[in-house]
Amino acid sequence: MAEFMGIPLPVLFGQLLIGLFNGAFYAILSLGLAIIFGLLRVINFAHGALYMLGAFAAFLMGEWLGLSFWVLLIAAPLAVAAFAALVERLLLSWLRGLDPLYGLLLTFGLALVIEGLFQWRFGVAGQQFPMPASLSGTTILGPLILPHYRVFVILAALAVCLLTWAAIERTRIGAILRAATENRPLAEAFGFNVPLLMTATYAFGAGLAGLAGVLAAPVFQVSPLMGTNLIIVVFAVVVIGGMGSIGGAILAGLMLGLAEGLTKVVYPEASNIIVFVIMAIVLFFRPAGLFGKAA
Amino acid sequence: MADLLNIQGLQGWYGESHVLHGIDLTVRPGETVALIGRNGAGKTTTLRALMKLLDRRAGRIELDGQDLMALPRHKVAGRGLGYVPEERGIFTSLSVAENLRLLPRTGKGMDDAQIFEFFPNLRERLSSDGGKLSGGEQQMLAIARVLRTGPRLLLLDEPTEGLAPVIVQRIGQMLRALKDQGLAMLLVEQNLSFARALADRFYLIENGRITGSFDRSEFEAHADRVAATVGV
Repeated sequence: MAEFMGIPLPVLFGQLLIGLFNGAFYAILSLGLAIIFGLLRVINFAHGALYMLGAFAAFLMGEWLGLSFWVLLIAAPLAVAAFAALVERLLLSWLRGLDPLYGLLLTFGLALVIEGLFQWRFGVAGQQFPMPASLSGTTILGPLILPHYRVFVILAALAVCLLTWAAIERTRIGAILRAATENRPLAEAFGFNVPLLMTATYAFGAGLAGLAGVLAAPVFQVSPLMGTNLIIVVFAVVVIGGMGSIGGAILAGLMLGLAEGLTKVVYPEASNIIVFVIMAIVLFFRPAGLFGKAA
Repeated sequence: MADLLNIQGLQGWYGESHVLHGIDLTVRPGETVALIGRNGAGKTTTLRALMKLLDRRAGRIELDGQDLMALPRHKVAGRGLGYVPEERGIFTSLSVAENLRLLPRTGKGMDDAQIFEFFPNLRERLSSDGGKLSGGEQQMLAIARVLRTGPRLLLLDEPTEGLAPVIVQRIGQMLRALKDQGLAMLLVEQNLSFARALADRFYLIENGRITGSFDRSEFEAHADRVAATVGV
C-alpha cells in the first residue's frame, strides 16, 4: 500500500478529509462570531446554543412538517436568525455602550437557559436525523474515499464563507457594515440606522450558526449539548484568526481543522489539544491573532 | 431672512460633565458663520451636539424651522446637515472610493465630475485605502463625501488643523468657491486668519457659553476681545 512518511495514504487522506470537514464547521461558526464581535462588540457565548438550535429546528421541522433536507437547509437558519433578532432587540440592545463583559455574561446565561430547556424537553440522548438520500453514497478515487455528504458540507461551507466575505468586502451594505464596525457613532451620524444594522448582523451571524447546525445534523447526533464542546474550539479559532477578522476566521477555521486531522494521524493523543497549543503559540508571537489588527 | 439653523439654549453633557451651558446661535441661508474659541471651550462639542453625538442634550435646534432634537441620530444628517468631523473621520478600512460614495444622499449633491473638479487629487487615489491618504487629502475627502450628499448646511470642525500652509490655502479656496455657490457653513476654527477670510459672522465661545457675536465688518473693532478669547 502506498505510504507517506510511513503513513498509509488512505489513512492520511481520510483524516485530512475529516479535518477539512471539521474545519468547515469551525469556519462557518467562527465567521459568525467574528462578524458579531466586529460590529456589536459582543463575545457571543450563545453561539454554540444557536448551532444546536439550528440542528433542532431542522430535526423538529422535518419531523412535524415533513420538510425535505434542502428546504430545511434554508428554513432552519432563518428560524434561528429570527430568534436571534428577537434576542438582540429585547436583551442585547440594552447593553450597548457597556463593557463587553456584560454581553459575554448575558449570552453565556442565555446559552445555559436554551440548552437547559432542550435538555429538560428532549433529554441528553441524541436524536437521529436522516442523511439526504441524494448525498448518502461514497466515491472512491485511488487512495481517496470520498463520502458525498462530507464533500458537500466542505463545498457548501466554502461557498457560504466566500459569499459572506464578498458581501462584506465588495458590496455597499458590506462597506456600511465595515464603516459602522470601525466607528459606530459616526456611521450613525452620517445617516445609517446602526441599531437596525446591529440586529441584522446578530441575526445573520446566528443564521450562520444555525446553518452549521443543520449541516451537522445528519453526521452528528442532534443533542442539546452538541454545541457546548464545539464552541470552546471555535473561540480558539477566532482568537487565532484575529478577533473581528472575517478572512482570518475563515482561514483559521479551515487550517485548524486540517491541523487537527493531521495530528490524529501523527500523534492521536494530542488531537484534542492541538488547537489550543497553536492558540498559545500564535498569541505569544502575535497577540492580535494571525490576521487581526493590534488595538 | 428666516434662519436656516436656529439653536436656542443648547445644553450638553458628556456623562456627568455639563459642558454646554445654553448656546444661542443662528446661521442664515448662504451665510458662513465661524465659532471661535480656545481648546476645550465647547466648539467641537457644539457641532457634536448638533449631530446628536453627545450623551445628553437639552434646548432647541431647528433646521429650516424643523425640530432636530427629537430625531434619532441616524435621521439628523438626512435633514441636510453635512458634518465634517474633527480629525476627518475617514473610515480607514474603506477605500477612498467607498468613503466618497458611502453616505446616503439627502439632496441634490455633487456628482463625481463636480467632485473631481474641486478635488482633482481624489480621482487618482480612488483605489487607495482611506487611511493611507495624507492629512490634506483626508480633509478633502471628508469635505467631498458630504458635498456628494447635497447638504443645506456644512458643519466644519477645525478643517485646517494640522495641515501645511499650502493645503490650508487650497482648502480655503475650495470653501470660498462653495460659499460663492450659496452653501451655508458653520465653521469651528482656531485659525483666526482662515476664519476671518471666510466668515460673514462670528461667535465667541468660552466655557460652553457664547460670550459675544459680531459681523465681519466689526471684526477689527473686536480684535482684542477675539485675541483674548482664543488666547493668542
